Amino acid sequence: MTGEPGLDTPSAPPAAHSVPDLLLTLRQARFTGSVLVSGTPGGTIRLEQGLVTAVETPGAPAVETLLLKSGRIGEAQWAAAEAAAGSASPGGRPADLGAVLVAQGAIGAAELETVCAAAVFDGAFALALGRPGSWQAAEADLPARIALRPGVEPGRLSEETARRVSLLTRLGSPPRELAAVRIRPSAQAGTAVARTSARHRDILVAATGRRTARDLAFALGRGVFAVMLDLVRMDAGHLLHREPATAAPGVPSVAPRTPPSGPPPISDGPLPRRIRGEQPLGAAAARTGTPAQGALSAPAEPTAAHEKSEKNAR
Amino acid sequence: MSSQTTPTALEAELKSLRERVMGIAESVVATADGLLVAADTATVHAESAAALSAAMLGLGQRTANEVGLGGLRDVVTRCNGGYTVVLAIGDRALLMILGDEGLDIAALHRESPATIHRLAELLGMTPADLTTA
Repeated sequence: MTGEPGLDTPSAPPAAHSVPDLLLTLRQARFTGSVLVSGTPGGTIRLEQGLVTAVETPGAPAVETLLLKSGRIGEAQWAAAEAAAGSASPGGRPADLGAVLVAQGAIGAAELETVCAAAVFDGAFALALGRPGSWQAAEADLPARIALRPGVEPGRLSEETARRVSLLTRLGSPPRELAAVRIRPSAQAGTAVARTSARHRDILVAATGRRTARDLAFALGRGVFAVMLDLVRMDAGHLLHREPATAAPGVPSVAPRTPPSGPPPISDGPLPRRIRGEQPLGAAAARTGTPAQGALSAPAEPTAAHEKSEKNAR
Repeated sequence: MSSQTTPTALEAELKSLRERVMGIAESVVATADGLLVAADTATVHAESAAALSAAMLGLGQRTANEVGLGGLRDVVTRCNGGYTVVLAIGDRALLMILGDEGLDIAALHRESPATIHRLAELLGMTPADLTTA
């Protein structure tokens, strides 16, 4: 990494206590390159002339996911554009994938710009939900393969992010808490599903009790903030059941967790084998030990936890 | 399917990994010859995934030997909609992870060694079994 002196050491410059501060500083310096943010989730913020052209993070769907999962662009079209972008400039940097997609007629320029801007704002929102880590600026990085040009003013980006966080908080679902919740349809959702919009119905179908808002966003090819807003509205309509978070994310449990009967000792013997028609070895062994607490198998519990979340939502 | 039964210690470990690493959707523990041991799955057919992951790991290990690039770390399949990652647990079992496009690979690399270690313990392996892998 070749960061600018004074910019690549996160704690050193007194001007940058936070990523938004750093971005403002870099905007004044008309910096082109990336800011690598570590943390959960971390991410990469791409800058051109100090303007934010892309935010890549595991916490929010990238432009590619938004385009492919939503069906705006087919996989074949995508592959064709990648091939064209790679061969467009032999020896040099690959061509901008977005420009190739537009040139090939896969998507309109205005629509692509809208999706790119949405991805920038959503990525910044997802980064704001993570626990802050360190960050460093790097000039040498390649630009994003699909970028918003010109990018977003960093000041506007942090304003919008703050607005989104406070909007969800005002609606009763602080997004940092909502991000950890796994969602499944409530008992009432079955009867109400005919009256809901197609957008909410997609969420009900995808909400398996295993997915967080971020997972739903990836599965559906939508923004995390948009999904969270829908979740809050659907929660108000009693359509959702929130699975309680089992453990604080990021804190691995190291408590003894061997059930009383335990998996069979197999250190010297052959591999665990399973007889056709029986449950897997571990499952059968532990069934006698641990009480049923299955999030998936247990019947719907529309009682305490649900009512509590309803109250919180108001 | 095992994901519908009482959670076992192995399944609890898989669920914990899913909650710690952003983007993990499902996972399977299998023996090195492809028999299902435990699964944290929702959509994928766990027994098929177990069988395929054993084949993937075997091919990966033979490829690593053939090309002389050192020992195998993991086998990654990148698809349009996400990733599969297969990791060895000692030389007698393996872990397959399915993730979406946003899978936090850095977090996975950070968290997976401890998970592999605990899974190995739950499967009754000794530390010596792990180091030979």
